[in-house]
Parts: sequence; C-alpha cells; structure tokens
Amino acid sequence: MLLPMAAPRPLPNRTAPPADGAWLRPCRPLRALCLALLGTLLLTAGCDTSVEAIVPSEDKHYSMFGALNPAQDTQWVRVEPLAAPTSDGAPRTLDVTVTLRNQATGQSWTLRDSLMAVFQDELQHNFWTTAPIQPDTPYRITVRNAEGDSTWATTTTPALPPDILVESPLRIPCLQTDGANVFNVRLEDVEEMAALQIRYFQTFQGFNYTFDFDSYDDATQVEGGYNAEINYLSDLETTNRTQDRRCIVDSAKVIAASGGPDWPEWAQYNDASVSEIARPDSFTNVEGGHGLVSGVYTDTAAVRIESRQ
Amino acid sequence: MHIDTPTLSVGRLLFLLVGCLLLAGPAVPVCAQEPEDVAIIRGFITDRTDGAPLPEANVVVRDSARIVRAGVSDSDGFYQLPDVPPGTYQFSVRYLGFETYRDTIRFRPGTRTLSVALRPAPQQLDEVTVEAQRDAVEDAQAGLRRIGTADIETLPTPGPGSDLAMYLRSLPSVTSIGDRGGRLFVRGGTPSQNLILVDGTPIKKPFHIIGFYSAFPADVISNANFYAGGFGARYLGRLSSVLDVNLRPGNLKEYQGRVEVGPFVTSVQAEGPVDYGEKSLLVNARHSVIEWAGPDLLGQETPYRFYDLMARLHTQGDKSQCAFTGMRTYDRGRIDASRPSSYRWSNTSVGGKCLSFGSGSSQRVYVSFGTSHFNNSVRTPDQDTRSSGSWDTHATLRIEQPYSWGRVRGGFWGRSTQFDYDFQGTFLGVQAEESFDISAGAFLGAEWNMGSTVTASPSIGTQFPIFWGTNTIEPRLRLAWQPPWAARTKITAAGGLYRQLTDAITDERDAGSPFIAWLQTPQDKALQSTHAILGVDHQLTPNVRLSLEGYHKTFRDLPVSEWSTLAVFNTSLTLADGFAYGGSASARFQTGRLDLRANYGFGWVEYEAPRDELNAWVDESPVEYNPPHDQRHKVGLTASLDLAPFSVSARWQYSSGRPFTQGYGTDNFLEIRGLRGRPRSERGNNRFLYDRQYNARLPSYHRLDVSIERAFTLSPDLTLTAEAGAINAYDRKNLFYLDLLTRERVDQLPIIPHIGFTLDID
Repeated sequence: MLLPMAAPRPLPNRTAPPADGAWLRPCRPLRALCLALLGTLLLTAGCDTSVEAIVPSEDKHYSMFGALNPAQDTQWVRVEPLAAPTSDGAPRTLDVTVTLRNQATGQSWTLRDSLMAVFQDELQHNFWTTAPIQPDTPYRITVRNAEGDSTWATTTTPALPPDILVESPLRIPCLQTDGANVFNVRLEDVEEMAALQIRYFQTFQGFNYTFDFDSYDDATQVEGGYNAEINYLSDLETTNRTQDRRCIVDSAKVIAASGGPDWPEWAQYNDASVSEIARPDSFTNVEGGHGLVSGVYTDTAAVRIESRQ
Repeated sequence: MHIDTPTLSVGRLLFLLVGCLLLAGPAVPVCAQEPEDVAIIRGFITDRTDGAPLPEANVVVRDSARIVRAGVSDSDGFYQLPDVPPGTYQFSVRYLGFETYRDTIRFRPGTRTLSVALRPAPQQLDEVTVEAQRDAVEDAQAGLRRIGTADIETLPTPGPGSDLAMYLRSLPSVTSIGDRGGRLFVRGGTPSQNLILVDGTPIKKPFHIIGFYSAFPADVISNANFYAGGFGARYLGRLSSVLDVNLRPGNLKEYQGRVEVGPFVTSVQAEGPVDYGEKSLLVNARHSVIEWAGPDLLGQETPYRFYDLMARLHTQGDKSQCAFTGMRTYDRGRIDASRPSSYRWSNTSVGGKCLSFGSGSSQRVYVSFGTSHFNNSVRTPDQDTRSSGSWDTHATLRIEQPYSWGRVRGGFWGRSTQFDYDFQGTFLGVQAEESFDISAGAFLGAEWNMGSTVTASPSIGTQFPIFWGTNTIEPRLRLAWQPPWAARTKITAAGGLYRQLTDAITDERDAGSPFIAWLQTPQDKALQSTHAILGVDHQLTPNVRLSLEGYHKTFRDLPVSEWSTLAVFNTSLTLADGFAYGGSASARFQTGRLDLRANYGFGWVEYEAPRDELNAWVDESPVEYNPPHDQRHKVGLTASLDLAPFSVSARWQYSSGRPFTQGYGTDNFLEIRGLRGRPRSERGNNRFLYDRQYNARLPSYHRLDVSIERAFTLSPDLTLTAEAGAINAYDRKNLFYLDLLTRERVDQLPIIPHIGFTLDID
C-alpha cells in the first residue's frame, strides 16, 4: 500500500521495522481496545432486529366518520380499526358491533356492515342503517368489539334544515366579463352551515352528466345566516365539457346542510389546512378513538336558468 | 434576508481586499511586495512513468547543517518554497514508492521554476511505510480527512475495484441511512448541506442508488479532501461538510486500458497521451448489471440501474496545469422492490480548472469554471410524479501569494442557479415553482506560521445573493500546534461561521426516499451554523497512530417539515434551530503487510422549534426533538493483510439505531367540514397517528464485509486481478426503512457473495 509522506522531521531512536511474523506484537498496547471491540461484535451480533411501527393505544381503538341526516333515508358511518394497517384499505373482516341509539327514546338499531371498494381496490367498512333520524334529537353511535373495547360518538341533529334562497339566476351563455357569471345564494335559519354544494346537470354530445362542486369556502357568515356568491363559470370550465366558455348546463341546484348544536365551530378551522384539522388533537366528538360523527340536516333548492338577451 | 450585523460594509471591504490581492504584483507594490533578495522555488512534482502529478511529495532545501526550507506538493503536484536565502543547497524531493531526487543547486535571488519527475523505486514496503507513518501527524488537521486511492482500496467492496462512497460511509463522522439511496449525513448536517466538488465544479448528488458506489471509483481519483466541518472560507455556501475530489489525469506517456467485470457493475477505462508528455485523456465508463444479475445471485428482484461516465482532458505545461472534466451519472430504481415507487436522478457536469504562475511573480492563480445540472424525480404508486432540478453555473478566480511567514490567498466567484420543482398529486405546501438566483462571493485568508510549532489560518468569506440585496460575512479560523516537547503529537482546532443560501426539501419521515427538491431557503433566511472542532493526533509507536477529535455545532434557521399526520409529501416548512456535538476516536496499526483500523464515533443532534410554528400537538414549547439522522454510536473495524500473492481485507461496522416516529394507529381521514369526505364515495387521506415525532429508535445495524484478491500476470502487458468476497457475510437482517403505514419493513441487502475480474492492459 502506498502512503504519501509528510515533511520530514528527524526523530530520535529510530525503530527498526518488525520482522515477518512479528506483526501481531505491536497490537499488545491495543489489546484492551481489541477485546472491547470484539466483545461489542459478539454482543450485538445476536441483537433483536424487530421493530414495530405501531404500538396500539390502550384507550383509542377505532376511527369513525359520518353524519346523521334526518333528510336521508340511509345513514352511513365509516369505521376503521386504528391498530390495523389501513393505507391499502381496511382488513376484510372487522369483528365489531356498531349500534345507533336515540338518546331521547332509548331506541337502538344495529348497523349493517358493507365492504366497499371506494378507491381502486381498497376496501372500506361502511356501516349503514335505515333507522329514521329525527330532527333535534340526540344520538349515540357505538363501536364495540368482542374484547369489550368500545368507541362512541354523541351528537344532536339540527332542528331545521337551512332555508335556501337562490337570489339570482344562472345566466347562459357565459360571458368573458369578470363577475358576469355568478349567482347568489342566501341561507337562512342556519346557525352553523355544515355544507354548501352546487350540482350541475349537463347534456353533452348526447350524454347526461352530473357534476358536484364544493362551495363551502364561498360562503360568508352574516347576521341570520350565510351569503354565497357562486362563480359557475369557474365550476363549469373544469368539467371540460363546456365549449368555448359558453357554459353548457341544463339545470342546477343548491344543496346545503345545517350543522347541529354540537357542530364544531369551524370558523376557527375555516382557514386551516386539511393537515391542521387532521391533527389528533383537532376537534372530535369521538370517545375512545378518533373521527367525527355529526348531526346535519340538508335541503336543496333549484337554480333558475335564464338565457341572456 | 435575515441580517444580524451591518455586514454590507464589511463585505465591500472584503471584496476590495481580495481585489487588491488579485492585482498584487509589480503594479500594486503596496499590496504585496516581491522580496528581491531571496529565491522562490516552485514547480510540479510528477511521476516520470506517466506524468501524473504527485500530491504531498516532500520537497526539502537543506545546507550541510539543517533544513533551510521544506514544503509539500499540493493536490496538483505543485510546490512552492518561498524566502530561500541565495546560496548553494541540497535540493531533494521524496515520495513514497519513488526514488528520492537529490541535486545540489545554487539558488539566485528571484523566482525559479524547478519541476521534478520522480522515478518509481523497487518497493521496500515495510521500511518505507514505517518511516512515512512516523511523520504522519504533521499533516493532521481538524475535521479534515485526506483520502488517497490506497485508503479506499483497503476496504472490501463488491467490485471489482473500490469506490469513494464505500470509504466515506466507513468514516465515524458520516451517517448513512442505508445501503440504498445515496444520502450521507455528516456530524449533524443533512445531505443538502454537503458541498461536493469534482475538479472544482459542484455536483449535487454523485452517489448511486446502491450505496457502495458513486461517480468516483478509486482508480479515477487522484486524491480527495473531506472536511467534516471547520473548513475555511475558501469553501462557501454549505453548512455541513466539503468533499473536494481531484480526479487523476490520464497517462501522459503511454496508452492503457482496464476492463472490470463483476456482479454489480462492469466498467471500461482507457487513457493515454493526446500530445505526448503534455496532454492526456482519461475516459471511464461504468454501468450496473445488478438489475440482471440480482435475481439469479440473490433470488430476489434488484430493480437498480445506474451508470456513470467521466472524461478528463489534462494538460501539463512548465508553468501551468489544466484539466477539463465532463461527468454524467444516472440512477433509476425502486428502493423497495415490492412497491412501485420509482426514483431516478441524474447529474451532468462540465467544467475546467487551471493553475498557472508567471515567470516574474511568486503568485499562483487558480481558475475554475463549469456548469452542472441535477434532476431527480419520483413516481408514486398513484402514478403521481414529483420532480425537481437545478442548474448551476460558476466561475472562480483564486490567487495565492507566498510570504516568508506563510501565504495569503483570496478569490472571487460568481454563480447562477436555477431551481424548478413540480409536485403532482397529494402534497402539503407548495406545488410548483421556478426560481433563478445569481450570487457572488469572495474570500480572503492567510496561513501564518508562528514559529515552528504553531500555524494559524484565519479566513473570512462573504456571499452576496444579488436579488437579496445584502451579503453574509463568515469568519473562520484553523489552528495547528505541534508541541515542541511532543514531536509525535499534533493538536489542531477549527471553527467559524457558516451560511447557506439554498436548501432542499426531503420527506424526513420517509428515510428510504432519496427524492430531494432544491429551493431557496424559506422566508429568504440564510441557514446558519457555527462549528468548533478540537483534535489530537498522536503517533504512539512507529506503527500505531491514535486520533481523537471532538466537535460542537449550532444550527439556526434550518428548514424542517411541519408536523402532519397525513401521509403525503410534506413541503410545508418552518424554521428550526439546533445543535450537534460528538467526537470520534480512531486507532491505526500499520506495517507493510498488515493494516488494522478501528474507529468509534459518537454524535448527538437535536433540533428545536416553536410548537405553533411546527404545528405540533405537544404541551411544551419550543419542541425539542432528535431528527432521524441522530445516530449516536458508530464503530468500524477494518483489516487488510498482504499475504502475497493474496491480499485479504475485512470490515465490520456497527451503528446504533436512528430515531423514527412510532405511532399508535392509522386510518383514512374524511373531512367532514363541508361534508367533503363521504364514507360511500371517498377514501380519505391516509393518516398516521402519533403522539410526537421521532419518539422511538430503529434497531441497531451491523455488517461484516470480506474480500480476497489475487493478481495474475498473463503477459508483460496484461494483468488479471481476480477478487472474491461477500457483503453482509453473516447475513444480518439490517433494517433499511420501515413503512409506517403498511408496517412493512425493507431490509438492507442480504449476504451477497461476489466475484469479479479486472484486466489491466498496458
């Protein structure tokens, strides 16, 4: 092996190089180090290499997401076991009982499991029931497994659906002028707006299409309700079926939902990113787990379509 | 930009001083006066057989009683002895493995060029090595590891041939995530804080997807300087470390070739004179074969493909030396063979560097220029693509002026950088952006020999990003002290202030992801670090050398990812402060036949950031945590033995587990706000639930690599070297990374027996 030399420095007591076969002798001063390192090697060679990504919580078992809506005939709640891997979908079997209880009357229903592929081939356990949901009524939904672990959420449904006023028509064809392609919506009798969506119906090249657009962020709270200005051109442009910005639309309707009295005060979260509201310490009404099951009340209103002169 | 001090005026002053140095000479006698009554001797030391420069050759001028002047050639083989009193002296040049050049020369006042071509000597390895080792502490410097080809070749590598990447990973100051991905962390720093130079041209990520390999096979390297910290102001722009690689020139006198075949890579190398004795060309091409050989060899899929291509034109004149280097690297593969995320990255760089000196001046001038392009991308299982690239162009002018007490050096550089990145699919934070920066910089430094035992090297640098309108000031100091009463001991220290104007985003939570996105620093705040290093080197016996070094670093305004439970690439950044401290101890026992090395490294890295800015959900603020490269312990044992005609080498390495985030559950988050997340139609966002980040540690890691080699002389012009060995010889299941969502573990490479052949053609 070749080693470069540094600047020469005369040294006293020049030592002769070791003879062949004597190369181990100078290791003696390092014996302790050699032994220590050898010991380290032997000690670590048999170390356990296992590692756990998840150490299940003793007091958080399931996540639950859904809404109880008096306006719907079927209620759906997603249930996932926190301790099982769920990134590629839920485990095929989920040995739990999910019950819905009317806290006012004491009446209970057991929800039925449905294994749905909601994204590609990933399966999810969506539990459902056709139990009639009453307005202004407290409900508790509980997930319990055979070991006795339970997760539950309590919510109260709103007393009334929102009163939806579509204050201006949707005019077609769309214009190039900014601000010319909007209609206004007012929601009354709403303390907390849970959702605002616009549904457009199109006939394009002989086929019928339906598009839903989330307008929750377009609404602002005013005294006695909410106002929203809907830019339908920006919605319809994204459908890729609107030609030359002419806005093809057969009909449209507004879908709005009120939140119940325990609906989170989303005002403090409205500017929050999804990452922020997905924090484990974000709002939840789920005990023994994570998620949100809330009471909402939806209603719809048609949007008048007018042709421009 | 964040400004702490009234730096602008100091920066202007520095530019003026460096300008003065650059203009120094007869025209500006105030700045630097050429001594008229002494001789200045300089020149190149080269190998007579192939014309290659010989770095660190000893050049001595002595009279009958004492050494008058002594010096060492630099990485270009250039030496300069200033301030030699006129007279007749013995002039000698020594280099290990070569016959010592001796002559009696009369030196007159003025500058004289005296280049020497050394003739290889029949090797008496034991004796020469022992003599060399006794003086080896003289070149010790705090934080610096000088790497020669011989150092790299002692490590077993699944070759054939050796590679700088394997050597770097063996250093106690370096933490690597695993044997894939090519990311190196140096003493608390991150990969984007490392400056890597190839013949003076910066290159972003020259490490291959299989961590044994880089763009630097041992047989194309002349030498490399690796600073684990404490580097002088000549190197500006990075916080953590510097790897300054000098490639070797091609043979100036003969044509040579080399073909290497192994289970991981094959390579072809050709070199020879373009203009005999003055210009040479070296071309090296290497391509992986593990993608095809792996399934048969390992019984598993090995989806890794890479290549590197290098060409270097070298010119050697009496008063100048230039090199023009082109390099291209490409990597493509899946870190986890069972999952479809596919990564690829490439570097393309072209550059040149020249060293020259005039007849009537003692100054030497270095010029380097070049451009390099880096691009990397990842395609996720959802077929989303993230890509990021950067394009750097630079020009540097550096000058050195010797004095009787040492030397002064200074320089200017200009650089333009273009960044772009584009993230499709789910992500947090920015999605796509392009930016363009132009910056200038200058440095001024001195090497001051205070008597015969102390050398002080103060330096100061400034960076001036044009669009920021202000500049940084970075003072640094390196010290060396060889106590007169302990000639075999050298104490060295280094420290200073370091600033970095750009950084990169990577997904800290996904240690296996090599994807990196370069961008300007958030909030236009330059990253900042301070270094303090203290080291001791001691030649215990002629065969045994001990080294001990401790360090402390502070960090300020480091971009770190905000906390998030969502399993998406997170580009939401906030700024953290932190510190790192630790040390390393190493021992080396060396005879002509045996080389034993043991080293131990300890480190502690801690970051802290305000809770709200970190978007954390713990009670305390600021939040203190150990980032995923906080590797506490590292042990390395290396042995190489020459049992002619065989040579055997083995390396065992151990490192303690790194931090990772252990959770208590996963789910798919449905956004009930706005009833956007509907159970029947939406999957939701993958969510990983945890109490705090980096709250657990991965298992420790250890591995034994062995190899044996023998050379066969087939004819006077043909030599065949056969090499066999095994990586991970006792088949330890070392964890590479853990997929926190799927909970699948990906292990590092299992035992890999290998055999390779190298055919050298002279």
